[in-house]
Amino acid sequence: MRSNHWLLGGIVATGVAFSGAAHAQQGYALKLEQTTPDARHDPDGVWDDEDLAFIRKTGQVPAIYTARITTPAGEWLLSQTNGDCNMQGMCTALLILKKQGREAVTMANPQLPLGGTAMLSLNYKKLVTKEIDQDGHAVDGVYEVAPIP
Amino acid sequence: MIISASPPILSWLRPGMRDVGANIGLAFGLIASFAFAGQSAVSLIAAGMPADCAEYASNVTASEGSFNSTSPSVNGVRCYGAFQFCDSGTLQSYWPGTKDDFLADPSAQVDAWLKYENDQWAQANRLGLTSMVGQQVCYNGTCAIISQSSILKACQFGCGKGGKLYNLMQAGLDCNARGTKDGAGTSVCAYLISGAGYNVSCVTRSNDGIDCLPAGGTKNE
Repeated sequence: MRSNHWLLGGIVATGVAFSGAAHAQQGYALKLEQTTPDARHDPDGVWDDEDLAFIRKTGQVPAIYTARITTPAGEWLLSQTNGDCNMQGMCTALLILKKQGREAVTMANPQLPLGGTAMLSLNYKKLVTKEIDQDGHAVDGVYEVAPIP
Repeated sequence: MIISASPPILSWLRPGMRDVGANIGLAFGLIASFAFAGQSAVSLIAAGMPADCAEYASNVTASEGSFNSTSPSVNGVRCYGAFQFCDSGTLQSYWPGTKDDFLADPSAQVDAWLKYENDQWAQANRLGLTSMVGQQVCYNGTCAIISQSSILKACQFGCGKGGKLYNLMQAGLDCNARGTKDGAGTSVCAYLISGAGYNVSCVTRSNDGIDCLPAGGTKNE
């Protein structure tokens, strides 16, 4: 009987710890990192060669930043270049969902600092960002995650 | 007999509580307008802005800053000057010097902005975004004819592939289409409308805006 109590206690403690961890996790973090410096071709095929060539034409060295996670819903790729940034340095990024045997779909198009982080909600419905608005102040961005035609 | 501490003429001049409140409100308004009004077209021209773009540039600075503005730090990033170029890479792309030198040099800020706008216009042209010029856009009950300045202003939302403006074009100017709003829920259409009608020929090399200057030419009578 005594050993059963220990076992039960262990199960309860594990359950509490697990639910605590899930509660603490607000979503899936997508932290952009430079993966293709001096880019002439995007290995993921999100950006065309012409997109990258145009960046070079403006006097910058094109670079691709990516973040990816695999979830039960599929593989999520966040991809960004240094070629479409506003004056506050918020650069267009594309959130792509890849499912095996299906065509990749663009699910959101946030603007983020180069190398920034976006948080995909646990139910895959929202993408939350930290951005800087036109007057230089911090803004929490929220984007609906659904196919963009 | 009631003896007044102040002479009757002074009590007549003494403002009522309502007047004091109104004056305080006016003072706050004045301070706020100095703090957030950005730069005037005249001050921008004095800093080297081509006169044809000065009104538009002034409109942009109204929502950004003044020559000596520095934003609060956001995750270690600060933004500088009348156009709030941030040091997350954009400032470095358009200004090779120090941040202090940039802040102290209005003409450097104007030069950086002109180069930035030229890049945006080239990008918009490359992707066909400029084909929207001349079309009508309506959003929240307000309509405008999209002009070149609309496109430049809306490039705040990204001017590249997959950006909000690109998606709007792909969606046939449907302001409710997916992928056309920023993270705060603001539609790119709002910027197309608020940016419409300015002369931006210093960037685009043609003028479809409205000039307030008298038309040139001679009058033969």
